[in-house]
Amino acid sequence: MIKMNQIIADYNSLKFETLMSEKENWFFDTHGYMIVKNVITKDEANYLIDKFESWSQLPEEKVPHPLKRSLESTVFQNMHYVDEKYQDLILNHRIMKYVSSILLHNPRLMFSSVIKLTKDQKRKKHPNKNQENKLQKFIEDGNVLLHRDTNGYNYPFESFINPLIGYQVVNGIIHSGYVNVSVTLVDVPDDHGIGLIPGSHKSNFNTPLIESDDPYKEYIQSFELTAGDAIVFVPNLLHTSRKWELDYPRYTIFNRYVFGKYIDEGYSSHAFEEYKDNINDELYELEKKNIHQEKKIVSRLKNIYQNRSNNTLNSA
Amino acid sequence: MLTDFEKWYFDLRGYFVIKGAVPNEDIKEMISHAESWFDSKNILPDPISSNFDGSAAKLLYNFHYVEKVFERLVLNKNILRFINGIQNGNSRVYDVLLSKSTQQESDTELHSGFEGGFQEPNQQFIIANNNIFASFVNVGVSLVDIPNHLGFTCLPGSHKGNFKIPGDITLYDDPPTVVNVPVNAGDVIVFTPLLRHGARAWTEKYARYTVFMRFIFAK
Repeated sequence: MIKMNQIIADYNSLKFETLMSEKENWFFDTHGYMIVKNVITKDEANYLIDKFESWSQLPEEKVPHPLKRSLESTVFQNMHYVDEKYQDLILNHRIMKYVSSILLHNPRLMFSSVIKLTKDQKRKKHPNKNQENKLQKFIEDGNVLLHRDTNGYNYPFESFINPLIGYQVVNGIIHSGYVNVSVTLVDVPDDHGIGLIPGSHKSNFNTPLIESDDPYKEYIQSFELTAGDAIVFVPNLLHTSRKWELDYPRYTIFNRYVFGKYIDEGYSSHAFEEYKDNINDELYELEKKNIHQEKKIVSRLKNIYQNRSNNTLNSA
Repeated sequence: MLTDFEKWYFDLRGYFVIKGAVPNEDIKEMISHAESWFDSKNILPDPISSNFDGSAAKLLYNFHYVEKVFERLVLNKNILRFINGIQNGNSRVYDVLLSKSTQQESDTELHSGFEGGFQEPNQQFIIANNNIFASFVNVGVSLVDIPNHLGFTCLPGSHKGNFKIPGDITLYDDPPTVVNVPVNAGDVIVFTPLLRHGARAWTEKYARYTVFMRFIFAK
């Protein structure tokens, strides 16, 4: 008898085990997001805000490389190359537990940014003038502009699963090619901050024009958060940012992680070789494409969560 | 036959509310009959049958053979347009019942919900060619106004779940996991039985009357 089989290298996810509980799997699958409370303390959040403000005050030539600052100093990127506390947050195990599981233990940091928003701040304009005019006309009457994060390409139907980004579940395993993590550095009341439509990551139809007397009551879920809380969500979820009307600014760290096996997508901020000594090995590796072995952070997460799970079983 | 919005919403949540689907005069007439029948104890016109043994509601059956207003309800175009839109124009009415709940009745516990794996052919919810097909559809027609915190309660999106539904979720949990669906008299809730759903205990002084209908794929 002649047998046939296929060759599969052992670095694949064949023996994948999620670090998420059954209940967490259900919640994330149903809603498309997960709230992780208190990943940093209020003092730590204030420290990160102070760093933001100190960088804002610097003359352009003094901004440490590779920190990238927007013209109005409302957005910084690559903060983790300059400050260790920003590094710690990217590697936070309570966040990475979800990120790594959803990325089938092949996580890669795509970018890290921190955004400041004040109540009188103008929206960033769309680079395309026609598109900008349309957007402006739509939102000036108080309409809500939702979006999904894409890699610049929209498929003919939203139900296509974008191979780089899309959400899917197979045999009880969740996978999304992108995972967004937003961490608020200030308290956010429940009528501010991120608004999202739970379950929309699994929509099978194109998003229609939705008309509602109160979209935030009928459709959009937003959250009362305290400084240091994180939201982990799939970018395929319809989401928006609500108007900030408080006297204090909103500071939000926004990290995106992607499936580590993929090629670069034209973003330049994965890793900065010349500054690699600024970050620790675990983070440096997290920014790199996966080589054929488990990343250090995944091993650390497995040690924390699988050992915890085994200890619970042993003591039961 | 469904609009883009109706398809998107039903797919997202597993239910859809058709507002004002039933005329007020029909609602009043149905309530009048309901009050009379539920008060008549054992003397019910043929072929109406009853089941008053349930803890959550008292139930009557076959009343659409007795009063034309209920026959009109089963054939209501606003409802049938939606149902046929889901069942590819091949709907068959399978069950019609009239339910009465008062402060004496208990809640209807959460039940159903899809947890992944094969779908039962008789309770399918599938999407193809930009359309929905559901082989089994439930319809609840409220004959009274339902306060915002009572009535039909469900876990939106639970008809498309891939994991075991946590056992500690209750009827009284908060959105977005658990929502109750506010409706007025004459509004209709169409939902797939794959949706995990139930009803909160009725606390108002007036009775809650609901006509429930089930439609199955006629082929």
